[in-house]
Amino acid sequence: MSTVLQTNNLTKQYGSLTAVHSLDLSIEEGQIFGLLGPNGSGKTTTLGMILGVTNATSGSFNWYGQIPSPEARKKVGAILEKPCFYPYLSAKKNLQIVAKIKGVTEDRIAEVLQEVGLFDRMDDTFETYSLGMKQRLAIASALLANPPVLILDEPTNGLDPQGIVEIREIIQKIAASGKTIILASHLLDEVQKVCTHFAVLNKGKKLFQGSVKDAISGQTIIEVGSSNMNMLKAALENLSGLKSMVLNGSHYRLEVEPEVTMEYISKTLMAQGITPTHLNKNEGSLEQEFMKILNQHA
Amino acid sequence: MLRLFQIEWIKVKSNRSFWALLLLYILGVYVLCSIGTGLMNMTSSVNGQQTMDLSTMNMYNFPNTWHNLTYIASYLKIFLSITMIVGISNEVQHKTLRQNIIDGMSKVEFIISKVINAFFLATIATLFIVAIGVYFGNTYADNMAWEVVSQRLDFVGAFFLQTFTFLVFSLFIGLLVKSSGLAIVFTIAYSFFIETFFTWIFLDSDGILAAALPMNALDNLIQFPVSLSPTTEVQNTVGLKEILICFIWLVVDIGLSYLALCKKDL
Repeated sequence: MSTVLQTNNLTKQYGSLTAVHSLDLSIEEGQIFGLLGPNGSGKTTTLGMILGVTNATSGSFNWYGQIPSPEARKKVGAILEKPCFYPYLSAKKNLQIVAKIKGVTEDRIAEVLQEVGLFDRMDDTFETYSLGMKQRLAIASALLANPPVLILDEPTNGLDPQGIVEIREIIQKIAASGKTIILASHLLDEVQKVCTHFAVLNKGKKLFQGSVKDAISGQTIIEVGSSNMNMLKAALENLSGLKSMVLNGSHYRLEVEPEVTMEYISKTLMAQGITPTHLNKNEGSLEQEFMKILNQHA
Repeated sequence: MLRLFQIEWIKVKSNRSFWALLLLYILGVYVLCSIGTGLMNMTSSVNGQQTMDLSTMNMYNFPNTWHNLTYIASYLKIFLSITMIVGISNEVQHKTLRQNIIDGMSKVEFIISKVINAFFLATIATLFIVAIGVYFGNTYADNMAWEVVSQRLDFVGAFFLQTFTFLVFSLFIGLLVKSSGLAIVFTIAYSFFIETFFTWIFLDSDGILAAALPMNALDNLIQFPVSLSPTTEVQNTVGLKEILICFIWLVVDIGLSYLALCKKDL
């Protein structure tokens, strides 16, 4: 597996404010990489630097091990912040400009517009588009040169639920085709549904980088309820593999080792004459992990 | 180069404000250049006694036509400059400039594409002034022989250089000043007053330093075509030194535009 993007001590300062603080990121081929962080954490600034439109204060980065160049950018399809097109031009003409810049033929314009469901509207001007359509056009534009790498910055920002679902389906389709995707978002749910790897940024610093699967499977939550909560409490306290336990309404919420199964808990309780009335297992979510990471560094 | 021209052409072709401003410029040049038809028939009389007869003053007589018309038209190049500034400001505001770079255009290529745009506008302006010269000359000139018409065509070349350089200067201002309104006001103020006042007050309107300032350099290419006093002679050819200074500004303005673009966080 080869490294698509590598940043070394990448730093951006605006006056006294350090928007990105010596960032080291490494993204491998085929990853769907989520760049997470609250608003203002430096996600867009980072993407701006690796796309050659924001001048880094110090540090460096490279694409496929090579010094950044316009040629390297032609192999990346990217949207930064919001879709940027000529408002008085039709979708088709806007994509013709992109095709000319990237030096590819215009054959794929119809194809990518079809892919995002804008084929019927390709002769309408960009300014007449709804926000959802603008986002979809931006994705079509990023796909135009069939690049191995896509960068999407908050692609569902400001969309209604239906629009969000549409964009997510498009992203999942692209992900399935084997492209490397860098997805900046503050929507954890979105990243969890799509991404394989993620990094957490806050105030310009990287707090964490790892795989989504590991982060989620690290935590298993089991909820147990019974008619006799006192007996239940006593029994659970001696359970092996228990990490923590809190009373949550009518049941206990246990954080346990991944090896602890519901069957095991059920058997243990039965052996002590307790019948569980409520038994439920929750896989961890990225949201919990994310809050944990932010709190650890707070 | 062709690729950059094609890109610029797609951007410009459907841009209504671009064509509207160009049309305004062309109409303005036509109207200003037709002043001479009124002057020819103008006489002024005091108490029934004729004091002035301008009918002998035909500004369309070759070879002076080229000097007269290019001088008059040069006052309207500000319209073309506005076209340029609005174009750049829109690219910055709509962040299409940023998207162009993200898509893989280099900053040099972006500047070249805008210089091509300026070249295109200057070419249209020059072709139009030639057309106007031929039209009015054909109607009013005493002599349309090629030997006469082809004299002093260097003023037409100077007009092209002047317009082109001014447009590249506007490109630089458009990239430097964020708001298009401010950039336009600055360009108008600078080209009409600021430099003139500066020259008066600090440089006594004379010397190599005065001639080297960007607007003076443009103005000196095509000077006032009428002699105001018996001691001053009217320019009859475009000076080599003036052309050289103008060329230097052309290169400097392109360089400054590139630097302004590189310094910018888009």
